[in-house]
Amino acid sequence: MKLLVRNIWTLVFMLSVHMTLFCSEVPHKQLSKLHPFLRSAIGKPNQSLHKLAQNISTRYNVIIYTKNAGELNSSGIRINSKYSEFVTAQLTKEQILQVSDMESVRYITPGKKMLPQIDVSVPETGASLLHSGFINNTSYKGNGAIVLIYDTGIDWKHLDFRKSDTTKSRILCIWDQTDTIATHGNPPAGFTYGVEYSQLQIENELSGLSNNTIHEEDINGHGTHVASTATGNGLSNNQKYIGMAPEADIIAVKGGDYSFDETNMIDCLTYAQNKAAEYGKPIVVNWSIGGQDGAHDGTSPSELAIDEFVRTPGRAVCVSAGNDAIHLLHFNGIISPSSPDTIQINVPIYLPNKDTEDDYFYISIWLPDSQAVTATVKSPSNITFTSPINTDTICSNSSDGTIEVWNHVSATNSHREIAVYVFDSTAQHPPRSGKWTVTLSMTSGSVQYDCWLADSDVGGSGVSLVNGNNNKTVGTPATSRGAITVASYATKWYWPTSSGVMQSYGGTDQTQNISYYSSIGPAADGRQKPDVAAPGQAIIAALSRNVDTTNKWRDIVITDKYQRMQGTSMAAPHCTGASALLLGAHPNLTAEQIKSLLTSTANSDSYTANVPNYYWGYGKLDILEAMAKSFWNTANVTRNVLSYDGSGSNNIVTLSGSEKYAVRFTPTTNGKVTGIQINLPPQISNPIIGDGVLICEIFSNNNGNPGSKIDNSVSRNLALLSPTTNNYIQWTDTSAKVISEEDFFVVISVNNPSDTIKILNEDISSGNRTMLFDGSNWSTQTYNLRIRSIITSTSGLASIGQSFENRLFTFQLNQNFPNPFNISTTIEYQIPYKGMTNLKVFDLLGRQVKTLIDVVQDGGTYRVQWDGKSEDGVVLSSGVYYYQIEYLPTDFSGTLANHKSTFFKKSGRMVLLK
Amino acid sequence: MLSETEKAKLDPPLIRLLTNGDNVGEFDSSKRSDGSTTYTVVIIASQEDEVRATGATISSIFGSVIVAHATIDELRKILLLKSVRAIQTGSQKIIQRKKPKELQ
Repeated sequence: MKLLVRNIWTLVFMLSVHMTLFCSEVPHKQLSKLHPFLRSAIGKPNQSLHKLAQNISTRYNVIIYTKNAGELNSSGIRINSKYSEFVTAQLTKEQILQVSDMESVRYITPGKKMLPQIDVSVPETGASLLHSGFINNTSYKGNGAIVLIYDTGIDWKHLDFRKSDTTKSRILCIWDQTDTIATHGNPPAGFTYGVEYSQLQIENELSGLSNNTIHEEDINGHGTHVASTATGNGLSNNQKYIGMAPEADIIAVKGGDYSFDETNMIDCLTYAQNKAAEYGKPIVVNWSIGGQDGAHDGTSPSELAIDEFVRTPGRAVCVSAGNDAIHLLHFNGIISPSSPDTIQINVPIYLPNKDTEDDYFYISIWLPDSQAVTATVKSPSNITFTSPINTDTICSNSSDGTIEVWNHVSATNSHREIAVYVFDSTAQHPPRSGKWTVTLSMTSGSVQYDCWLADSDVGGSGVSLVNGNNNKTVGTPATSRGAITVASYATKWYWPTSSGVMQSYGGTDQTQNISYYSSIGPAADGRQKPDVAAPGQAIIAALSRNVDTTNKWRDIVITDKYQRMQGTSMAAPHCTGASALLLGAHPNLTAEQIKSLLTSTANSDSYTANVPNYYWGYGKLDILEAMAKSFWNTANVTRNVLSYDGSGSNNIVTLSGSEKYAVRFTPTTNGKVTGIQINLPPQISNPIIGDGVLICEIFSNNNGNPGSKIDNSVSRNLALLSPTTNNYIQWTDTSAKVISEEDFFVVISVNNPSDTIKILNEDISSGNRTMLFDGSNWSTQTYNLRIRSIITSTSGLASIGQSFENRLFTFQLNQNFPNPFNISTTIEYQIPYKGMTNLKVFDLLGRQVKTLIDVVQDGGTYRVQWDGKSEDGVVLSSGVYYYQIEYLPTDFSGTLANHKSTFFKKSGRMVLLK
Repeated sequence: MLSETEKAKLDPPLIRLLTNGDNVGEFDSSKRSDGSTTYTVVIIASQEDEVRATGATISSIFGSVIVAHATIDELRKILLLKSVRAIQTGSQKIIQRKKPKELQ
């Protein structure tokens, strides 16, 4: 709060100085005609104004309110659009002053701010509208939250991870777990391996104060890409590829270049909780990693660690579901004494790798209990090897490969696991090609089992299960109970390379459909997994400078800056960024509450069908509505992309000169136009000529033609539009209100008559919705332009502080745990919003023995530990004690409210045993 | 020699390590300042203090999941603890990036 106040005063001071200078030069009469942003721009010539539409030649897009356009024309002012009450133009500062001096001119206002072109996946989630202040008139960008990326490292020099002062980094620290060179630096406190780099070290490198002191590299590029999807600020390229939480703090932990040891992953969580405590901020961890080993029931060590990690409010973990929906890695069957069951594995003919233990396959079989089952492995040449229960048996002299079978009961879930590992302990005997079998038998009872082909590599080729299926392929740690598990769907099918060549996935455009590879649930114990789906195909995000880009031309979208990747790896960071947005707004949200918000607001459509299901979880991520619901649980936010025609495109139309194209749309709900999508043809069609701007406007309907303009226009630099793909253009001010079942028009034009833009037609057109204005008349077109309006409707939103009973948090005082207790116990409580909170312990006679909490706290869930000691540290005797919470809400400044009705008081009983 | 009870707490690589004392590259190991080799393991246990008392270095504790760095001698001591239910090597996870095969 103090910081905010200081910033406001700084701003006031700067403006007053600024205005003083300016006012001394410009008559008040002229000044009063200028919008404040224009006054500011003129007064400070080199200032870059974020809220001012400005083209690259320092002309400003303005709306001039005048009824005498002729006076402007005669003064040499070039008018772009002329209406009865105003005209649009691009003016220099000098021209703005000139025009403001004209008697006929009433007011000059800037056009809408020059919007960054944001790629499609982040807008798809609703995050872009949150960035622009759609909810509470507040820009939610993850400020106040930390995002930790555990991955292949990060390109810490990439501009997208820097602050606006590019010598400053948004990265708080980096822990390179893989660095074993002692001279590079020290491990973080509490760890004995790897090297930690501080923000200061990074900034010293960025500012040139030091050189080559940071040795962390992301040679894979995966971690940098993931980090930028979650947190990138798009600084490298005019914010075209901006991430979900572009103002969140970043921590990067490098765990490997491709694979990661589970122990290091768990240590990453310890590091995360240490850093969250150090910085006093909530944290969300992204794991875009996984595998198919483990019980798939949330009981692997890393999954149990997640569960424990997220017990503290202000922490969350997002995990990618996995990319195994096409590999038929799962098999299930039933065993009984009379009916042993056999798993068949096909090993292809292959050229073995050179070394030992580099050709292998690994089968993991899990029972739902500890039933005694014996496994018999038979090789293609009929070498048979039996593993009794509770043994680790190894057959190392087989000419078909070394066979190891571990038949045991797991310590974490008490279920039987039979792990079959076939490998080349000597290079002479790699796993033999052909059909391998594993026969499972038991002497009593019957049991259904699950089997996964957990891993394989034979000469670079894959091994397959006969009659395998893709069920239960959500991997580990994605089956964790505490994690938010993220599936992938397509939001883009085409992407341009840096050389201008268009790339696409094969087959029919599957935009909006589930990604073909996205792993399928449920968890082995039947729990719903995945939890939610997020964009994961053709995701364009930061390219690490350490990546060897040779032969990667298909993926490089902007040389040295951005590349395309796909996978549930790319979906998870959308959810991580979304979680950071929520935690930035509510630092004490629990992971369970975040998951509940994200799943309860996820969108379903014809692609997802009924949700939840094992492909999509609860549907498509919608952080806009989740954020709204975090303030008011009655909130509903719906975004509709209005589409009337086919799913494909036909030919191309050209827009140039004074032409305008209008596309009629008919909202199905009252709402606001919050954006449009425009589909351009491929680069080969040369769709963009010129360096001016595309002007987009919303008009009412006047007997089938565009009538009155609604709201201001939105402009977009042509240079920032992408060929072949949907371009998302956002209306940030969101005041273009539209009414259900009435017709409106989106009208596009270019500001510079010599510029040309080409737009795709719909392949099937209906309703004659597209019209062309040739400079004097509107005419109906045969084919509709592929331009789609996005209408956002809201209900149940109130201003902050209202709707008290509908808040996300409520009053709660939970039973302490453990209870009875010996060494210490934990008391959990929840308060609805900021208030004076008092938690005390009393003995059986009602005497106060300890004050645990006596401070003003924000709304949220809290946990407090009590060690059974009195105020002065004396260990108390065994017996019954009571804990009591008292809470009185305050206003935002911390002043106590005078509302007895909101006073909250509750007690609990606990037993101390010595 | 390991007893059957002790073996039941270990995964195969650790059985081999504690039986043969060899490191065949299956482990994430490192050296302490005194030159001793430590192996990184996941321990499922209810009493972290008992694990720590063996001399093992603990880097993470999440409920019953403990990440420890222990010498072979320390592993043997840990194995004898009643509060220890299992000792495992960490499994390997990989990035979940899908390499497209169907580019046009």
